[in-house]
Amino acid sequence: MTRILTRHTDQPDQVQLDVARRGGAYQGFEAALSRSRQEVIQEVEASGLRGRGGAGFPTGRKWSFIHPAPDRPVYLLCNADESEPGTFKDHYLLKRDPHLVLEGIAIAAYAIGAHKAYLYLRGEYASLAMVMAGAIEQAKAAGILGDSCLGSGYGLRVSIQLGAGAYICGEETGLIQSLEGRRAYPRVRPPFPASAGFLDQPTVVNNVETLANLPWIMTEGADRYAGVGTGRSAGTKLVSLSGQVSRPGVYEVTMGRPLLQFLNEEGGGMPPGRQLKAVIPGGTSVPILSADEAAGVTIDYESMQAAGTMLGSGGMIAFDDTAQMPPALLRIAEFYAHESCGECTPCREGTGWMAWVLKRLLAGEGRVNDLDLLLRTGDNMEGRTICGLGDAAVQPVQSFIRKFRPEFEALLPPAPDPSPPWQRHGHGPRSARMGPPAVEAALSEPVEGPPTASL
Amino acid sequence: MPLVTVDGQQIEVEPGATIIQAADRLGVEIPRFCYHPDLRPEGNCRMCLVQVEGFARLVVACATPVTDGMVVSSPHTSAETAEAVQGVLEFLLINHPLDCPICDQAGECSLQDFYMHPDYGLHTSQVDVVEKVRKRKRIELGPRIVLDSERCVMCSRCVRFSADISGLAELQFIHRGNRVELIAFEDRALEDPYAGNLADLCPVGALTSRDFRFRRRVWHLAHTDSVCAGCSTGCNLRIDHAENRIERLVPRRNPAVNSSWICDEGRLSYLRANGPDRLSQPLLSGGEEVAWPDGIRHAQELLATDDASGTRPLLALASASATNESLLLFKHLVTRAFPHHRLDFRLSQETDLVGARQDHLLRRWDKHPNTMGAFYLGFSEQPGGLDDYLQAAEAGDCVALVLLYYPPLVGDELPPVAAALARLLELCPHSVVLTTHRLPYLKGASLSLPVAAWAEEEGTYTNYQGTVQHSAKATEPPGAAREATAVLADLLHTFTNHRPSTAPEVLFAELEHTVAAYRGLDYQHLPSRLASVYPPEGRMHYGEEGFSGR
Amino acid sequence: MRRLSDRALAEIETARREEDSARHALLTALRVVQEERRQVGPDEVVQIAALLSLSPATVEGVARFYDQISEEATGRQVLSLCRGISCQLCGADPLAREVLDNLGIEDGGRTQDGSLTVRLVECIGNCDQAPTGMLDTAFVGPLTSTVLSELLTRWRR
Repeated sequence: MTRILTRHTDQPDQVQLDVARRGGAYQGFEAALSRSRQEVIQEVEASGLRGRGGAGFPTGRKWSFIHPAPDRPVYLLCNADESEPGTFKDHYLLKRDPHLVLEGIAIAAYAIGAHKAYLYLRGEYASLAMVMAGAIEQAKAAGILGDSCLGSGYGLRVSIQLGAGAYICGEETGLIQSLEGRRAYPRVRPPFPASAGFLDQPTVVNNVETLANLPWIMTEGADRYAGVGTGRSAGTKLVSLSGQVSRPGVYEVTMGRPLLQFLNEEGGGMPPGRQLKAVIPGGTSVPILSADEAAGVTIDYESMQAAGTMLGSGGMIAFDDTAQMPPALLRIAEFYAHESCGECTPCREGTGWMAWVLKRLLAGEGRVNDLDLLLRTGDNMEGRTICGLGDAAVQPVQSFIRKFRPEFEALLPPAPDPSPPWQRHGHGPRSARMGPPAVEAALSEPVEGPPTASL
Repeated sequence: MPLVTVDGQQIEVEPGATIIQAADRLGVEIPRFCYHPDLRPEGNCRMCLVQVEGFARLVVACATPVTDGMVVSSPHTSAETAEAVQGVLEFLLINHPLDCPICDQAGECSLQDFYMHPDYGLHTSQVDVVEKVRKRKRIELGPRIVLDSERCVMCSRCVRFSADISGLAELQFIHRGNRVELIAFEDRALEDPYAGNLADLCPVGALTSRDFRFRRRVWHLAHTDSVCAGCSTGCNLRIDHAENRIERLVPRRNPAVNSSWICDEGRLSYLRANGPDRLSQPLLSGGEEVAWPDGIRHAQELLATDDASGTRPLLALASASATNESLLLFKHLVTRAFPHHRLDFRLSQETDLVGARQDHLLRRWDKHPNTMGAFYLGFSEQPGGLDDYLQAAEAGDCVALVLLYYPPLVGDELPPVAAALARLLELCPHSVVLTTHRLPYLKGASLSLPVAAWAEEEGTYTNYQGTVQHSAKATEPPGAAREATAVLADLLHTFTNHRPSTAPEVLFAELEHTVAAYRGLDYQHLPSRLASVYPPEGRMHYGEEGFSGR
Repeated sequence: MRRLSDRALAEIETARREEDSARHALLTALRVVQEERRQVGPDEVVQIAALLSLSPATVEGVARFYDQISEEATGRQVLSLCRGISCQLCGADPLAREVLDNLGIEDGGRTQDGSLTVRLVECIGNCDQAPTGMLDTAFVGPLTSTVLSELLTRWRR
């Protein structure tokens, strides 16, 4: 297979600039600088590269929305807020090949006309900030970054911003708000970041992995890149494999690789004596696949979509046959309730509510209609929130319940017997003898009506 | 110009206008909490979701610009939209305390109103909450505002007002998810002189006015649209009153004058009119109260001077807190009955201060609502003003004084002005004062005639911009006090045998005829901006105009 | 109020100079102060607000948004135990319970001597080492009872 992202990740001392350069680092940037920025954008559009953060938006197209103007600085923000549960690919890249990421940043910044780029790193990756800061210093000292990158006359400064613990900062407008020193409340669109982003200036936000593809595209060409993978899923994908699997880790996979084959070969299959029960293919924000569903799926955008799920971040979480779905779902629902920023109504209230209902269900205090209530709550959230977190929170809840309903139903209290009390089992003749008049007598006390909803 | 259809009605709007703006202009009600026409849109409440033909998802009307040919369905006509809005309401009620019976917002609460709405209201909820997220209640944030964060729907109107309009950024949310809570840092008292607006802005009972709280249920209030008389800005407001008492003032939107805001001083200016120190009967200098016919007779005797030589003038001064209509009759009285007179309105530096800003938002240093009106009516000459009158009186060059005076509704009279007035009354052999209150510095008047205060009479003021606005009558003046125009008409009749009309529209029509600046204005179509605004002689500082947020 | 160290002030100043926006430096300021004081309580909020010409409410609102900025002081070290779904599948829950019980504290609590805070945190992006965690900024894992008790023993010394 073609290795685009992990060619050097096993190279000792790859974090050192001279080692990285011996492996070809910054040749892609050099190639980009020898062309016009429009040519670079066209090349990336032609490559078919799509955003690897989760949404899969074509990268070149995103860049083409930027219209630099003399009085409006353009910003490139590299999204390294990797917080999608089960995702650690950016962690892997940043730690093992920081110059690859930095080169990607430089190419993208050049293409959109930015002279300032930020690497927004989640707070938990403070140790990686050291690695990246070292890489930036080396690149500056070598004249790769600075006032005239590689002597081209094009200037670029790259700074690192550490976050402080909030999932929503991975949402692009949440990231921008955070970087501006605000509560990371996502912004309602329009305006889109391309026209008014960081400090209201034209801004592109790209994921670490997305950017890491650029050096290869620049040196090997769009055609070659488009030739890797399948159809509208060009290139390779980093899969973060975790959960109940023998060899968890980050793997570079050519788009189109059968999911189960990947699980069994790279992942080493299930732990001894266990069977695959289900797999979340792209981080907790995408619908789960049962083992049966997973059987026909390949790792690419189209196949995932056809199976009713998404490639997402490529955070693949395996569940073996010992896994219990209700507590797993509660954990995921609690994550979204904890991470909902609280800005818009459906997500703020819906995430908390779903977690609360699941919690009471697991505590044995569920109501007979709780599963439908959860599904309906999801319907009331989906498509109605400011950002994608609302939709994301709904996917696991609805897919877990729909696909593993019996496990959840087992937690429900017995349905109330629809027959009148005097006909129920155990009351026998005596109840029957009492009949309706006794019921009337029982009701002759003042009865509270059904609780009427009122303000 | 993009053409948009909302619930079957069409309207053309300017490029960039949003769906909610188009709907508002069409009169199609779109429910909303977070949207406010004078705050930047945030789109957080999701109540204004609407369906747009060709769009896969519902969009928020508050932040979606209209494009040409857009076809929009509101919750009144689209079942999908109504269901979405119901969903939002259901979410909002999960953690709402449902304490309407003891909530002062009841009756003007958006949550309550939306809940009851026949098209998208939520009459049943499947959400059966045992444990709500508890938050803090009854936090007094200074003298104006009480916070109940359990009732908050997190629409952020107050946060945006505090940060973007008043600029002090005293309110913020803390935490995330359903633990989000509105706070002022350490519950500190708000320093914002515009804090009262927070209670108006809040669509629910989270921020309520300490002044108005629990005074009256809002459905017992009558509403009268008017303008503030606290300073030369002339903010548009609504007088809420019941049983002949003003209970509160709330801003009325006028983008050209005050946006949607008023200052706290203006908001509380009604307290002066409601005060106990009102003059309610004609009053002689000895302290004797008399009936009106006697009052008018006394005025006639005091002012009908026997200065045969005619060298000493009658000094006439009407403060710029009088309406244009009162000023017109005052001018007629002075010019027609007293051939030798001087006429002015300046107590102090009105002409210098009329446009001068006291802050970045609305307040101006000139605490008279009608300085420009008095100016246009020709109430000033050079030299003139109270100080000049005082010099004349000291020199004995004064036969009598007639004064139409209203104490400021915001703050107290400037001490030098009060002292000068007292001294003037002392020096003038005779004086007739038309005023609203028993004021210590006007005690020296030979005769005091009680007149209606602001909100007790109808008329017009011309604000610092030269915008002529209605000031309406909401309550009756106390006791025997009468509208200044009626008293002046009586005096005119006494002195000239001619009784003018006191109907404001008739008086305004005369202004329109006789004062060049008012040419073409129509009493029925106010507010109107004067065509030629600023002062010919350039003696006044004309402050930066209108409203600007920070 | 204790003065911030020169190093902290310099770091905040560097962030402020990045952009023509004092506000942009707020996130960095919160991190720097948290690291130095192990908390951003009311005193720290007032100091940061004065430093960046922001209102205290603004600073408070942002500080209380982030999990890593704490109102109460943390211990000298912070042990974060991941409770993400991948770690849960690998047995993180009983392990966390064991640690908390051994130390006699609850989630977010501090040991009696004030030296260690233990937090259960959302997915930290180290899932191939599940069950995983962090001791301050260093990733640790895969965690087992043995690894954790070794960790705590070393930390106690």
